[in-house]
Amino acid sequence: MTTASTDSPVLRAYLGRLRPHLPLRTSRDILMELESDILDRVDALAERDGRDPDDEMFRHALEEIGEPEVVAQSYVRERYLVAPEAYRTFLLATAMVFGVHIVLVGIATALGHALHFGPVGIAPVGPHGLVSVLASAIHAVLLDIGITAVAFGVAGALNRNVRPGTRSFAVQATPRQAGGRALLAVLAIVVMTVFRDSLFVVVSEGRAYPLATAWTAEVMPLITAAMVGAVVKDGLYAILGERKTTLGIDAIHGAAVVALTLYLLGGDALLEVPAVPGIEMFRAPVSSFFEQLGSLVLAAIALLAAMKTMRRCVRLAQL
Amino acid sequence: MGLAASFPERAHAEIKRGVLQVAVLSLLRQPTYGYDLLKRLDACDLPTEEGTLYPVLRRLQGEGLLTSEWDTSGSRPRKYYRTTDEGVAVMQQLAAEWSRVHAALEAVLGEADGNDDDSEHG
Repeated sequence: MTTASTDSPVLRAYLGRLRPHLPLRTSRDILMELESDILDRVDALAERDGRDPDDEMFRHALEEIGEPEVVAQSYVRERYLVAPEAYRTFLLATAMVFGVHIVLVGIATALGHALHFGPVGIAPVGPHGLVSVLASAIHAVLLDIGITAVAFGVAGALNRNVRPGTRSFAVQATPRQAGGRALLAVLAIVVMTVFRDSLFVVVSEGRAYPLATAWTAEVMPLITAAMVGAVVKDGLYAILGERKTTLGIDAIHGAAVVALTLYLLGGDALLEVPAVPGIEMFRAPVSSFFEQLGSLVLAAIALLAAMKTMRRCVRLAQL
Repeated sequence: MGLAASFPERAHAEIKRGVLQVAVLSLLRQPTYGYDLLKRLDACDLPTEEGTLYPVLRRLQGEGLLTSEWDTSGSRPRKYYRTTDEGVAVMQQLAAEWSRVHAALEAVLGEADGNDDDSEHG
């Protein structure tokens, strides 16, 4: 009796479906191990049936093992921008950064002009009273959460002493995820560099308006919105103590990212809902074709990211 | 296991997950490969799937409790795992803890059974 062959088209097709969902660094080893296991299974079936291995036995063995996407999931650990055990430290750090930021905004307001620290500008509160104060506070919170989250994410990724499985933003990307992140990073850097002063444009009633002031153009609001969404999710995991994704948490995350992104992109104009009082302070007319094009690209990226999150919620709901 | 799993199913999975790690550390004091380990677990009435076992093996290896190496001398390459000295020490601790918990649960269940008998007889 012959033994199961690695050339089986059924086996190769299964492993081909499995590969894109496995972590980049360990996919080769995982595939070799699973291939060996599958071949042993098929040989056992052949010995039981007293005949040579065939495609039917391969299909039977693979049915027993399960769908490749499901099998791959067990190899991919949950990733966090801010790990659950680091969340309290993150909150403290963000509060400290926010405190310093608000004090600087207060100083800029008292002096009546912006403070500049290299490329970073701290602007005074606008002239619209309480609305301006709230707008400045919201901007400060978003910016500080985003910056602190990025710092924790980078620190977590570099900290090899963190217990495996809980490392912040651990590099366990599948090829598609890694490629997607790299593409988004390149696009974000290009757009942010080229269209620095007019990052977001809303096309409304035939005119284009940028949604950026000089002091919000330093950090892309889209990244901030994504960071806030990810951190809110991480916070819910930390508070609730759950490590597995739940439909409710992802739905909240998805809705928050969509809502925040649309708001930052001037969604109130697009959706014809009443604008937040004072929002006009963030806008000025612009007519540059390239600025409009760049902002539409950015809006498309934001919406694609939001759609991906919502698709994940739908898939979870179907389990 | 999806979100639709019932509580008993989830609880069963939780218990099994904890038992599996101790069982694996114990069985791998003798080096073997994944498929053979699956058969041995099945023989011990601990049936396990590839999607459960192999990630556990990798996780234990990441913790330094197992080592592995590929053996390419046979008819096909096989990855052999073996429990390290640290793994044996951890396994003994966990086994002792399991015995303690098992005895405690037996006591609790026995006490509950006694209370049930008392309430029945008034």
